[in-house]
Amino acid sequence: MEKVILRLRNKIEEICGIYCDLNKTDITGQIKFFLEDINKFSTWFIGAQDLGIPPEEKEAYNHDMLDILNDIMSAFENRDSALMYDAVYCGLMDYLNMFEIEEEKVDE
Amino acid sequence: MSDIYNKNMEALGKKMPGVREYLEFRFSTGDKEKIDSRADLFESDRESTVYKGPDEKIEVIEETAYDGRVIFRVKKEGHDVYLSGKRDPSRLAKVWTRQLKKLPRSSYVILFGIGNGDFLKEVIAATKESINIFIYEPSIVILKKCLETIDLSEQFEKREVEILTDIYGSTENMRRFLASRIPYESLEFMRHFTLPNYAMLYPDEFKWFWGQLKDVAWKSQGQYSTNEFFSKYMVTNMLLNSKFLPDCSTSFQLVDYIPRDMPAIVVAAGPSLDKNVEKLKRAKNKAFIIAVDTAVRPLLNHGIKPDMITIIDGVKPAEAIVAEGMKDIPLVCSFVSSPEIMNYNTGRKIFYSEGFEYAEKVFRDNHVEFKDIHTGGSVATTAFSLMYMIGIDNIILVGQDLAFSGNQTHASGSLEILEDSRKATTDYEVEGNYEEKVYTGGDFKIYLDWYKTFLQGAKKHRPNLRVINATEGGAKIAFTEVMTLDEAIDELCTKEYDVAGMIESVPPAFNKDQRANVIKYLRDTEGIFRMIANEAEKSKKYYKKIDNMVNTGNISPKEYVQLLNKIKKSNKKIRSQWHCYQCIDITLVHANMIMKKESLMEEESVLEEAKEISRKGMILMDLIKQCADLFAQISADTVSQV
Repeated sequence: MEKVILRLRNKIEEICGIYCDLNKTDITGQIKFFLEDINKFSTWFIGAQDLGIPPEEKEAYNHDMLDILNDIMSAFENRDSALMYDAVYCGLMDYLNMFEIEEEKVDE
Repeated sequence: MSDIYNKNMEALGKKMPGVREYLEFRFSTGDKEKIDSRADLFESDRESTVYKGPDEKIEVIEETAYDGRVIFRVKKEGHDVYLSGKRDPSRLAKVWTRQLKKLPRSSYVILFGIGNGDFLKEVIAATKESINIFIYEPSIVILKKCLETIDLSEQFEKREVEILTDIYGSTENMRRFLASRIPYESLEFMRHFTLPNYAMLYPDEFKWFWGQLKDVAWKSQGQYSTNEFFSKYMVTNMLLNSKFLPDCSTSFQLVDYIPRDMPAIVVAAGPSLDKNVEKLKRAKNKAFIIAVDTAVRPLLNHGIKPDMITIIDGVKPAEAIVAEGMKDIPLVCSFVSSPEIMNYNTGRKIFYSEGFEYAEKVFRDNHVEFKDIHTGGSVATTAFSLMYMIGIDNIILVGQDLAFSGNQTHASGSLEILEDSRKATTDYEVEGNYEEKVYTGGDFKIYLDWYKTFLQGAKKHRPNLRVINATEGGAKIAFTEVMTLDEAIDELCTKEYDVAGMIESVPPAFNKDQRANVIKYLRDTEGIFRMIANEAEKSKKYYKKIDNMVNTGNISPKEYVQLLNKIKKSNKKIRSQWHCYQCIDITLVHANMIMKKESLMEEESVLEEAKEISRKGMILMDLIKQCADLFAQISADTVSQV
């Protein structure tokens, strides 16, 4: 999963980072290529029990993750770049950043 | 209207009463006619403006973001999208506005769309007070919803924000607006952004708006480059040509001597002229034939002597223009026209106003009317404009291709000398007179647009005006009738006129006494330039003193202010002779631009600022002195020939 997380994080930063112009960047088109990774990550996250999140809070986290997935799907459907940016950069990215991963180790 | 709306409008009205008035009016009616009638607010381009007005088919739904802020979801023509995110609505704005922090003063930030106001808030938070903000919101409905729902009063009270809405298609007005707001020197510091999903919701408006901005920037760059290019010889030519002033006539005088029912033929030197130049023989003395400089040789080669020649270019080599037989043909000329050609020609010199104060003043002082004409940027558009100004109702265009024929830009025998250096470049595909599509270049496209705009207005003003495009090829010019030259001559050139006699009867602009005044004016010029050189030298010394003070750290505020006052006095004296100083101002266009750009930058401290002032001041005064000395010499040489 570390590889998936790292890949997603780098890609989202690349697409949504500084100087991002949503009218020039086809954000929905670009995110489409990473749907499989998003799916892998979210399924893993929702099913995982050993993430260090208190069990009473996990349900709320899962609910929020589903909300993000819904927004990503809705953004695809409507080609809504504002919603896609928000769902991946202000939503999904927070979850991806929860994990400390050393890039060099993953490369090995 | 909501309390928030009233609060917003009140705040907006404090700093920008005009914008408040404009918006209130736009919100109050969607009636196009009524909007058009309010020319004082934002004069409308009646032909092309498409107002959506409050009836625009759009639904703006108010939602609450996770942080409690109001966000908008828009339903329009099958789209259902947010204008900002739900989780962190201002994240994108925060990221984008990071780049604005170091913008120099007076820069412009332009936003396409207002959304839920987050971008505006972030722009204001990230920029200095001297940064200008302009918003174009294509939807009057979104704008109204925003002002009704989001409290922006703090922002409006803090900063001047210009807002325009729903004027899609009002091209000329938008260009005028943008051109008036964004001077060339601040173009490179302009920052712009389109809010999310606006390009999808308003694709036409998006393309149109940024297209206008691009055009304005491009034209501004072109104008600057032209000025820079021409500045090298502009004033020299003007001073050398000033010897023609005492005996010249003005274009405006022609109005009284040329009958309006006589048709005019404007002969340009486009490639198609080769096809119909011979036919012009039939029009001699049946129409006023005015040729552009480069068309003279092809005409004379075919035994046709034009009644008048228009020449404005100051750099075209004389060998590309001069020809046996053109010596005595009256010239409609610019003060900056090539002196070589002006000297070769012994005919009447007819000037028009171009805003050069050196010429304007001499006419004004002698109470002689001196009017400008819409030059349109080319010698052919100038000739056309002159015919229009005279009041001629039937104007026939020949050789006005404004498009390329293969790789050829001009008729044979006209500009071969320049062809190699100016190979045809095809930047645009446009409608042709006889072909479906023809190719044209950037400058030709500007002239095509100029004709369109000019004729659109001219036709309203003078319904009897007929402009016949008898160019047998080339690009279609809007609002003209396409005809062959034979057809145009058959229909319009039916009466004989003594055209040469008519022009001959136009008297000089100045009578005997006035002529004496003009000569005195020319004689005084050298002395004024010498005075300017002298004052510039004095100012340089004052700047040097400031520089010494800064470098030694021995600054006396009193002495510093005294020195600045002396410089001010000296500058005032120089500028009081604007008719001569403008010559220097034109010549130093590039230096001035550097100074203006640098003046936008802010220095770290007062000391640094003083250092910069003295550094720039010394350079500028040196350049002014050099120019003034040179122009004094040219003026002395010129007046000796009068």
